[in-house]
Amino acid sequence: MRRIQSESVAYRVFRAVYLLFFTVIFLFPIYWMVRTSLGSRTETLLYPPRYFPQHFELGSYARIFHDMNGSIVIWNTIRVNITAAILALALGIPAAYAVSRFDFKGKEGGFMFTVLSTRFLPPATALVPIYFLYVKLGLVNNLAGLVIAYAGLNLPIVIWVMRSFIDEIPRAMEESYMLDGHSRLGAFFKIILPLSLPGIAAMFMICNFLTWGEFLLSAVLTTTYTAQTIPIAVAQLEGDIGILWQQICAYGVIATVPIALIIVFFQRYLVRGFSFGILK
Amino acid sequence: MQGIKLEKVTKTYGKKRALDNVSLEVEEGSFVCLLGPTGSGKTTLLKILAGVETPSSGAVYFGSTNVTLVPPNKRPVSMVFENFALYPNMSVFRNIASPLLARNLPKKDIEQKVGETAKFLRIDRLLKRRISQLSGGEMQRVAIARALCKDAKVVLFDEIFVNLDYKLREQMRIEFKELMERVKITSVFSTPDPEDAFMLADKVAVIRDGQIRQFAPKEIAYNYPVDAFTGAYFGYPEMNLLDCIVAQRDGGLTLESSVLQMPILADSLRTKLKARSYSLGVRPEHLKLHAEGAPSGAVDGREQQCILEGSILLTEVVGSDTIVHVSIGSDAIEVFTPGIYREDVGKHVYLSFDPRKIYLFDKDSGQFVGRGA
Repeated sequence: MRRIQSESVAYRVFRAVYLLFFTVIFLFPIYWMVRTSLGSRTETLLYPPRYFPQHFELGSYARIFHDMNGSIVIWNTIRVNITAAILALALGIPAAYAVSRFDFKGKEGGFMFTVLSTRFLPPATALVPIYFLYVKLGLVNNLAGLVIAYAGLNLPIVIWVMRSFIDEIPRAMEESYMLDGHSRLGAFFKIILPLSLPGIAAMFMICNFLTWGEFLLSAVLTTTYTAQTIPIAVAQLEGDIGILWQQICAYGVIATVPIALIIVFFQRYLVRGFSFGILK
Repeated sequence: MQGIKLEKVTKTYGKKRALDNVSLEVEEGSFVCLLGPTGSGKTTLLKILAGVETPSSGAVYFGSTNVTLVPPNKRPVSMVFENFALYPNMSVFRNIASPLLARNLPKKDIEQKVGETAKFLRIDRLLKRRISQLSGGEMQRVAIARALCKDAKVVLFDEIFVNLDYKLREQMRIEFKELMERVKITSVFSTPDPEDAFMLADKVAVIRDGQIRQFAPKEIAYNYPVDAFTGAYFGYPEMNLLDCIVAQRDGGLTLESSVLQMPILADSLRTKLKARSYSLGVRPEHLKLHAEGAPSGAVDGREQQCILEGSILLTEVVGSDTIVHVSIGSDAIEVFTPGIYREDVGKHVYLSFDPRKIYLFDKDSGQFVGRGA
């Protein structure tokens, strides 16, 4: 009995140390980002580095908002990503429903592969034709253009994952709803969508994760701050006068907040969403 | 509306033929049981009647109206699915009210109709609950209530007892029969369990591999099955089938095998038999078990009996009855014994049966030849 108790204590200590170690590993970069954003330039460039700054200032944040059109850039990022996620879901969920519920030639082999293959392609390979197309359509330096591009990036994943979610909903439920006298469209809105909410929430998060830090498309398809997003604004902080680490980290902190909020509210759907997409 | 009809309906899924040239006519107000094993086409047939599936060929009639291409929301039919298909995102009230909401009826009428139907099925206290809070029996009643609320002309039931435990199934069968006798709607009830057919059906349609083998009143299907499959399947436990041949003996024609020799009593049967192989069918409930030695004298008031000799393989208690598996030669025979019966494995026993109660089927085609009398 005494031996079991001592092993248990040792195991608990080991587990605590192990978890603490990895917590520090994962949280340290975030701490350093916050610390840098609240410090002065001198503090940032000190060597050896000071892990706990002597004083804090909000100058970096003030500069982002007053001198660098930060509020516009941040608002662009939020609007574009959320709208793109919503658009991808609005188009992808009906497509996923069609793939799940209807039989058509080439459904498994040709169609799904074609849908997913657009995601295998590195965006850089399609950048030039996309750019010229956008020029013709007047979508360059336009938030709507960026929304369409990001929605296009997310659409294959939405179709792929939501199809798995909808497969899990017994067909008998829609059939029963239609036998009650409702239309198939009614069954889609009143049965499929409510029961797919966990999947929709997960995909909303995943779509935002996928495009929140997207750089290449935004860099090519936008030219001024009126349409640019945070990654582009951050890239512009590396210039002739040096790298503005405090402002970069301030942008990083601001960019993390919306994503962190989304995770807090939707986290219980995230694991299910990943599981369905990967395991199926 | 005057009943429903399927006319030469075939349904294929790729290379698989789920229904093969099926024709079936259900009279108005009758209760038909669609009986068959898993994968025989029962659910496909019901879905075609409901309009959820479209036949590959053939037609569906409600009365004299061809409804083959009419979508399910336009047909006067409701259906209770195997897993009940209740909507988990809605309350019991909304589930039952769903067909009424589809018709855009006034709120007051919906509340009244739902209340009446719920009271009729004794689930009025459950109306505010979510589906996840209900037991199996309660979910079944809600599903039936929803089907009845539609005021459909035809109600379809797809294996609704299959997911219930044994005791609940027995209880629900009785309640369901009483309910359907009160409601008197044209009904088609699919099941793999012959006991459901025995208890509930006016007529039974035995289906196998997408084909209707026999459609007849249950007494006819039980006493005069069209083939060995129907005879065996429409019985619980399944009919025992023994291979035998016809032989000419001094006393006349006999049926013989390695374990049996019995005279053919029925004149009608003697004229049909040829010198070839047959399957002799004996229902487990027609066999009597004798553990204390071969019976002498009359059994159940009948002198002339056929006697088989074997040993007990196992005793299987089912509910409050027993199925005794007896090894006879190279065959295993099942004997239905009322009550709980226990005996040691390997015990030497005798089985007797009345030769008038046998069924005879052609060994090659499986076709019904005749009864013992």
